[in-house]
Amino acid sequence: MPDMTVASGDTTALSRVDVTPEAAAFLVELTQKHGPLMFHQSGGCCDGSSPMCYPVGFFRVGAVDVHLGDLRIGGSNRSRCTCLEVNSSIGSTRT
Amino acid sequence: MTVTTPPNTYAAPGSPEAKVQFKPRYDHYIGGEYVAPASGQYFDNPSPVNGKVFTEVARGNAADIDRAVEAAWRAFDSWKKTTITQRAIILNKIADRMEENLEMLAVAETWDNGKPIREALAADVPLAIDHFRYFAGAIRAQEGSTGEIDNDTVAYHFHEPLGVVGQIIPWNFPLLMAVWKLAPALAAGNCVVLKPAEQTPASIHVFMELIQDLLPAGVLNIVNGFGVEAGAPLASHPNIRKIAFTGETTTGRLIMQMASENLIPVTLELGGKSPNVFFADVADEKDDFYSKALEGFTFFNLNSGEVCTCPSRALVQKSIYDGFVADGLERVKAVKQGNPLSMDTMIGAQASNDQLEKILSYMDIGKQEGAKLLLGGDRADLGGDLTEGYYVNPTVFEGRNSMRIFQEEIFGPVLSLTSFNDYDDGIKIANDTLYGLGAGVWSRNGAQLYKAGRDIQAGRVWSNTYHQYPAGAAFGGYKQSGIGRENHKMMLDHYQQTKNLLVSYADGPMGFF
Repeated sequence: MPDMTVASGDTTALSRVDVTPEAAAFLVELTQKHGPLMFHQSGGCCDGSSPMCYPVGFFRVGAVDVHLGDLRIGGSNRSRCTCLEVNSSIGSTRT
Repeated sequence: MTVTTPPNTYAAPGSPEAKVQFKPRYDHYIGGEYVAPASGQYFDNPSPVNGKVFTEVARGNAADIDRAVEAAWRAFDSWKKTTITQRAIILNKIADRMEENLEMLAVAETWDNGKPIREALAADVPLAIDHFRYFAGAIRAQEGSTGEIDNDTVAYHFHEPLGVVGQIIPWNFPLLMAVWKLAPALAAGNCVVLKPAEQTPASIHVFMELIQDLLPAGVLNIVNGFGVEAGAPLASHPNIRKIAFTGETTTGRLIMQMASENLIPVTLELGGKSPNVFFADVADEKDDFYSKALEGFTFFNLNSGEVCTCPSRALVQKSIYDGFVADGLERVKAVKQGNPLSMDTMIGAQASNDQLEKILSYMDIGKQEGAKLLLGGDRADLGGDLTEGYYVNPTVFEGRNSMRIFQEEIFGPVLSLTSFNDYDDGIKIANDTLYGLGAGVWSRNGAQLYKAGRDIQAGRVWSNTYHQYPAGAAFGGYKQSGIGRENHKMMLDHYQQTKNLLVSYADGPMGFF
């Protein structure tokens, strides 16, 4: 089982990023093939409400996105995963 | 003509009496023929009905997309010169061929997606057929315009096809969502490279094989595969003139980002968390209208809840809440779950194991955040051959609109139920969402119905009805639910260029030089 480090984007807040041992092992495999990865929490239909996984830089992050944290699996910078989601107030009328 | 009665249960593909037999393998359909994927790789396609693999499908990549885009451009040279009459005739022939094979297509759709056969027979396939006919008619009736700028100058406006367009199809209505995009694109004279969802890649090939003699080679090309491997090369291809996508919001953004690199238009349909608002006067009488409203409450089960416009938030006015909800729950309990190939079955399987697990995790989230479980809330084991299938029990939670199960799209038969005090409160809750695709409003008061329909920020507000999808009504999202529309003749604009000829009939020079 690989070592896992979860570095929260905001250490004062409850971490929104976690990984199971099985997922960590798979992420190591993926990062070996594609390099560092990013997750972006999606919404909407079909595969929505699931995190989308891309090579870092494949998806352009914008001002509406919130950095939830990073995963460093096995201590290697190559197997780094950045985790993001859209600011939940976007488009909502809630105040 | 003999009228046949549908069997109570259709035979499963693979058995000798089945209406459709899938091939053990499907390649890409490029340039009018089936070709093996460049990578030589295939992926397994299980049926959600029983969780068992029934065919394998080509795993497309950038090389396959290149090949398909090239084939489409070769076909475009002659396809763009066909008259609108010729194209309309072809679309009508496709519709006729589908109608003659309605049961075959419906069984294929049910086996690939898991939806109940009675929905595939009564909605998916008939709506797809009608869509071809609608756009065959719409293109015939479309005209350009002439503008008299001054006595000697005339502006002529012609519609021209865009060229080769990319279309990425979701898995919830594999045939119908493909046809929503195909019919207007083909009617307008475009050639298409289409990528079906990897979860439901098979039924579109049953359709393609059925109609392939009706379309010139290369006009419609199908490349199967996964999003990053095949979808991204299609959306970012420098030689497509438009990309259309239905799916989730992150990929929607990614597709816009890719389209921005090539400066091409996009249309996006990205889902919702549709409010279904029941005003107090619905319960004034226990008549047919009341029964219709209870059906509206129960409509979150259509297509096992896997609909972008699933009425997944029910808002019931406080003064009728207890009685209406009790009657609504009785109606939900009457939803019969079973073998999707049985005509008695009202709710079938979820489309994939991923989807099943996501729904189950939201049931857990609902319980953990303190929503009150009124019905369901777990996986259904239908036993026998279906025991490995992806079934969940229709589920109703009572809670507050700020909860995650009210804000995040679950895409399953899960209803989040809450109450509102008065008109303003109801509209406020209805609009308190990231999305704005569909909505429902129920009232016996025509003025209230109209006002609520206008005040709800959604592209489609079903008023005293729900889940109707006629080809002639525009469909699309406000807010985070997307860009552009599908259905209606206005959809042709999304697949056409405007050519303006500005012509001077003046005898002499303008006088500048």
